[in-house]
Amino acid sequence: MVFFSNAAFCQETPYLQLNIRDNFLTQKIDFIEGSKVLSKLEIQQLMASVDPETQDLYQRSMNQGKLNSVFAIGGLATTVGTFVYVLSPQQQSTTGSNLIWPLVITNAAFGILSGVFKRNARNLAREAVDSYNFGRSDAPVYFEENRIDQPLFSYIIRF
Amino acid sequence: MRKIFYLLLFFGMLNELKAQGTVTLKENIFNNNRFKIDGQEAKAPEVARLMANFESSQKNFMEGHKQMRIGSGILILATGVGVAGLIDYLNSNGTQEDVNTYLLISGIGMGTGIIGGAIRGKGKKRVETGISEYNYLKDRSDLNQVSLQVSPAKFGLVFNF
Repeated sequence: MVFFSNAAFCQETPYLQLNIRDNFLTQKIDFIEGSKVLSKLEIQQLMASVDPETQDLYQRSMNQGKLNSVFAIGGLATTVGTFVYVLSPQQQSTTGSNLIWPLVITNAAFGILSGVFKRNARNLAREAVDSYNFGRSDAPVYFEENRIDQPLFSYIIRF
Repeated sequence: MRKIFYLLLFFGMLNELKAQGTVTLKENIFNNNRFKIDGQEAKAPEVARLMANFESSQKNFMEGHKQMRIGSGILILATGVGVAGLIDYLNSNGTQEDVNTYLLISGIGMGTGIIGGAIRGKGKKRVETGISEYNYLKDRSDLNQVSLQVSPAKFGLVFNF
């Protein structure tokens, strides 16, 4: 424990941590560096300073988060719609009585899709942070098809 | 002979202390954690063994993992209760008494589900904290030192090179 407490306070380069919590609708992913929560601009600058792959992971995470919020709002709307439809008495006798199944199915679909995008956003954010902190966690792939961003040998003729 | 023995012991310790991989975590389709050590898949006990030198992280990780499993079990139980209540209601005659029974059972199921989800969320948070702490300490702490480790589990000098 001595060694533990001794070694805990030396920090040279930024070390990112994640704090993921659930909102009413979606989730909030906080990027924490030390004791402060980073703003969006700061994260983008940090991610862009390492390599394009990290930035790409972060961007994808943000995009998945946006998709998730779209589906979460849709899901809330259909939930409210279902409740209104069920609780309103005047609709029962008219022709709209089979509207309940589309509402329920849409609600379930929105819920499942929202969960998928939520998880993707979390996983990608984790990957981005790991990539920032330690480099890529997986071994680099050099001979993948159509991979031109990091050539093994390159020679540039400048005029 | 003795010198060789000490040398081998020293190298063994060196090897053990250097062999600390980065732990990453990814959620699968059931939102359960899948761990990787340096990009290779690993089970939770392996990760816990890897964290042996960082006891606070190890404790957070192991207890969090256990809590997550307990919470998942309670969640599954709650789902079972809800489904059983629904089946019971659909097989009944639909009198006021049956409706009351259904409401009671589904209420119990929902309450159990909320408790299970809360336990699971707490465990997940602890697992994340443990992994993040471990990665930080392993990567950034100044390991080249000799120190005295005093704890119930381990007692003695720790050589870190």
